[in-house]
Amino acid sequence: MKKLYLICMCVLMFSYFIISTENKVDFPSKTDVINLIRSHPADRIVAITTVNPDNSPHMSTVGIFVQNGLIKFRASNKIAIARNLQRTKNAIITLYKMPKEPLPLNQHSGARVWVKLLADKARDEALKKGKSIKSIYSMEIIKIEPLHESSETQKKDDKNE
Amino acid sequence: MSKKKYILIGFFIFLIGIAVIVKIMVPYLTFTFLMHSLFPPKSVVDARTQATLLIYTKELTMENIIKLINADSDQRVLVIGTTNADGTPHAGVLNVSAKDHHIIINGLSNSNTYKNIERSKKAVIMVYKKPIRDARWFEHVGARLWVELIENTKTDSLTSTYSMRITEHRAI
Repeated sequence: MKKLYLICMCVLMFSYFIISTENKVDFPSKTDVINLIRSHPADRIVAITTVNPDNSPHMSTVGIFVQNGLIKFRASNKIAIARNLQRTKNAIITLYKMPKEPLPLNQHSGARVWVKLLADKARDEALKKGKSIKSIYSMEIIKIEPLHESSETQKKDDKNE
Repeated sequence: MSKKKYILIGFFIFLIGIAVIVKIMVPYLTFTFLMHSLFPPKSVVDARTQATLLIYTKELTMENIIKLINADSDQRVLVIGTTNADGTPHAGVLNVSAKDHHIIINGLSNSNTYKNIERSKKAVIMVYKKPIRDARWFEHVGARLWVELIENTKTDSLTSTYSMRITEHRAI
């Protein structure tokens, strides 16, 4: 009887382990994100989402790099991403690691990174004067989430709201 | 050579310079000024955001965009951008397909992207073709699609299908 009980317990534990790992969302770490940014530009795709003054979304791509734990890119203050970033100070960077073979959507890897723009005196002064300058935009990582809006990340978002 | 000869050569060079300015530069500047005032050049600045509209990558035709959206998932990337209720941006990766110049999005109906589309009826989709190794920036291929919601159908209690119309498309 004891043996049967032990076997039953083992089976239950094993099934719980399989179910829990199946539903688990693999949250990428900051190191994963930095490594992905540093990988070859042909292996990863970057999309930056910002908000236009009329509250419509804007999406584009720029060449980003990592320095001192900050995500940076060099651009003119006349491009839409720069203008929107200067106004709202926040953006989402979607990093997508290109799969080597066709995979279902939930097996694609990458990360969505919520970033906040850091202030720059020279750039802010140029913006006030309406001057066009090229500068480095430094952004701090606020939140990292997996690529897909799974039910688990959604629950987390709802809790935050 | 005597000093007089140097002065003469200098004078000739000066005269040639004046002739070049009068014969070439003045007509050129007058012509361009007239042309610009008669036919003003197309603005390269977006009226809404005042951002530059200059794009350096290849522009795709609508047929090629549809083909790229329906291509294998290892050949292209699709990201959907929306705006949250508080004015912050949101990005999501969902199942997207294209049919008859319409975009069809499938996924969980409780996700933020769906909530945002339902509220604002607008989204931006970026489709990016897998870059060839060592390709230069302007050789990258893709498109940004501005889409508007036509209708949504709840497939079941958890998932929804949104049909969207492409209002505008530009290169990446």
